[in-house]
Amino acid sequence: MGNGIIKAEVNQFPSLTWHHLHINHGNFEGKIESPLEAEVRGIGEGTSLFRKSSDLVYGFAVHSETQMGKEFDSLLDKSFLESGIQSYEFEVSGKSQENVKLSYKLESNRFCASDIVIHAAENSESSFVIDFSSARDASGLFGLRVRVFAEKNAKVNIAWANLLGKDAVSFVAFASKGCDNSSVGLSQLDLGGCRTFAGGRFSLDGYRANSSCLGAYFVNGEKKSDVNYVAHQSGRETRSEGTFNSVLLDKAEKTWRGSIVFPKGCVDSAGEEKENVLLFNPEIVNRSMPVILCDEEAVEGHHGSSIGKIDPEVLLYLGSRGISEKEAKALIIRSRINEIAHRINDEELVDSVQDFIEGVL
Amino acid sequence: MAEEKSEKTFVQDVDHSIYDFRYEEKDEDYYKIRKGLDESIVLKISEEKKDPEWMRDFRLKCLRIFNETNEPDWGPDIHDLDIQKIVTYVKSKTDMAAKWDDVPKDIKETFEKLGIPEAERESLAGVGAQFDSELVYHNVKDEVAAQGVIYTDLESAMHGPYADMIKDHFMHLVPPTDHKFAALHGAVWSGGSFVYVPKDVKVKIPLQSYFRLNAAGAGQFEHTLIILDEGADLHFIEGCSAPKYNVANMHAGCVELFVGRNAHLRYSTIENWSKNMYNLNTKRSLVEENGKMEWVSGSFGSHVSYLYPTTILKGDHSLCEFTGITFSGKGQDLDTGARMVHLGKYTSSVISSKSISKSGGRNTYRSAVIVNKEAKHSKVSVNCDSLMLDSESNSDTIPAMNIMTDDCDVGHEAKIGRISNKAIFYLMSRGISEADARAMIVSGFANPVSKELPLEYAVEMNNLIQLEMKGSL
Repeated sequence: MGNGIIKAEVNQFPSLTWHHLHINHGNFEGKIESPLEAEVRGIGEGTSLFRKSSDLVYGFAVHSETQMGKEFDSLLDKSFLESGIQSYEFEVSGKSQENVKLSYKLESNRFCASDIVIHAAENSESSFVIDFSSARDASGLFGLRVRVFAEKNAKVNIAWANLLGKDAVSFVAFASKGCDNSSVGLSQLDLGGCRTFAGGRFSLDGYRANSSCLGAYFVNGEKKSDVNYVAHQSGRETRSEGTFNSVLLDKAEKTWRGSIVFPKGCVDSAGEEKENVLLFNPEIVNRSMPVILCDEEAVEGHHGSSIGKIDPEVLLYLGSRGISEKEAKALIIRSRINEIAHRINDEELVDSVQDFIEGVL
Repeated sequence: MAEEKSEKTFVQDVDHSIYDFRYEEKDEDYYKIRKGLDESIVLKISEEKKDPEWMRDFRLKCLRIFNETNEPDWGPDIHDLDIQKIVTYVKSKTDMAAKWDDVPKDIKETFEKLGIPEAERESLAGVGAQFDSELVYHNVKDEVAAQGVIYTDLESAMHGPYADMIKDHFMHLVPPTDHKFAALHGAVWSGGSFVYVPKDVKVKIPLQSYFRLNAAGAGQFEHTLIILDEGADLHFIEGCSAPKYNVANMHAGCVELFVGRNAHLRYSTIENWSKNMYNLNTKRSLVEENGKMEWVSGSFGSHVSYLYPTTILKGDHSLCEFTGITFSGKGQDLDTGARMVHLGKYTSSVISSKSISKSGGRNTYRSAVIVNKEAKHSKVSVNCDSLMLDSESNSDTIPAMNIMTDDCDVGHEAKIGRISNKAIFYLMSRGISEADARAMIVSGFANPVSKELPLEYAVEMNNLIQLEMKGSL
């Protein structure tokens, strides 16, 4: 078991801007002492699970870069080896009929991590649902790295939900690589914890590769949330879509970076990202940076952001229907989160998310 | 035989050739300080300009800050810019004139070719013309002066009845610590204008300053200071150009605008520096209660540009609109945009930016919107569209929003792409040729911004983008 202290600039923005905005990168400092084993269910025909030392996983994963950045990834590799963390490597072939589920339960004051690698073979279809939770007042850290390699025509959907207690720190470092006609979808429900790092880096390398990233971020109390989304579309006719809903309450602070990158050669590709942020208290801080970096003429890039509080007319309308302001706000918060949650095809996870939100509201 | 007129319907690069004329600056007619930057050069400039003591000390302080500050680690590459090879002060050995006939022949011819005297006669309330480091001509129409409007060169204003006003405002909005090139400006600034519009005075016709950098390897560091008293109204235009040389030229000007309560200022710029120019300009405005600030910006020149007009909406109910267009062609890396800082309540800002990149040009739209805690009920709208006309070019959009209150409404949208095939198909289905359709779309793309530009005054506009089609500029 190592001391596993990791200190790094993370979630770096691909193209720097004014430093006084404090948005170019986040800062991570935490320690990883040991692995956290998952309860794994739903491995059916066509899916195989291998437990391996993190330096022996499938080739692409070794060279991939998550949205947290190369420096962090490299420190994480070292930490995983020192801590004896065995990766969960899934080999998927064929079309899976049910979701593969991984559930992590963090005990208070533990500093743990896990590593997942998914290799989706040609023409396969699979879904993975991941949740990590703890007691409401638990502290500690949970870190997860997920790396996905989707071969030609493969479809992979991943959903994760952070249901940790209010004093826990978490990060989810995500990387995917999509080959020709592949499709990688990620849904992230970042609801718990006091300091979280999320997002994902999608490399759409193949012809007509697709990616979709949906995020719901519930940021309350004094929670700080740092999100970095990168869609790197090097293949021709690739499509990326990102939708990010956030709700900020109390003294919460959120930084969101969304980058669509069109390098030369990605002819006829399209990328879109949308961010919707609902603000509830005067002490919040929200930083948003939706970015497009384009070296190719024959593409379409589009991004939009909408940031503000609840429309007073909506509150008035709900009030006229007998719904108090407090109830109305709770209703709207639920709807923002559920807009993403209900796109996850797993009733158990959706129920867990609803329970978590009700518990906080 | 009548010449058959053919309608050209393609987008040419910006034609700078009509500005690419120059005059040899002989030693007997011009004073040039030696190249480089050190304390003795700063002191020499201060001596030439007969600075008051506070300004001399200020210059030296700025030089120290310049030497201690690093270049930005973001934005276009400026490692080829060597300040030690730049001549920071070049002056014609003649005094500033109030009549064009008193301006030296070659300088007068320069401005005649640019159409400045003609524009002054036809449609301007006053003109300041700067050649290299100093103003060579300054005049304001009698009826405008009779309103109490002050429009003069900054140096003489520093020694006159407005000396204290200038001292209280000069580089307070853009302090030398802001960035390295603000410090450089503070150390070697020369030329530029001071404008003061008294309370409730509306200047119906624009004032214009034109900056021409003729000397090779030189820098221009003019300072524009405009103060609008309560209820005042002004439209100010600036234009600039330079001939192209094989060595780098540099522009690190500074514009500080103070918009009083209920006042309105429109600041229009046509930037058309040559493609050897490093344009590191700083522009900032401060708007008081119920004040309105409008920026209209056309950027067509320079090799490298860092340009982000910034507005601080200090007073309640103050507002700002920024409208800009940037065209980057071969050899250009133009990093432009705007910044808005909301401090007061019920403030609003609108940013509307268009950019076109072609022939390997690099275009970056960069913006920042900051809504402070106290800026309740603020509204922000940001829209940036980028059009790439070929696959050699680049276009990036890097907008940032830093929001520190819940009581605001912020919207942002951006698009990057090429001319839409669907739009072309639609127009062709209406009987329009493909070439005409493309040209119409580009014209339409630029039109919302270009119609705000002061066409009747900025005489270069018709030459800048050759959109030769029906309904062109």
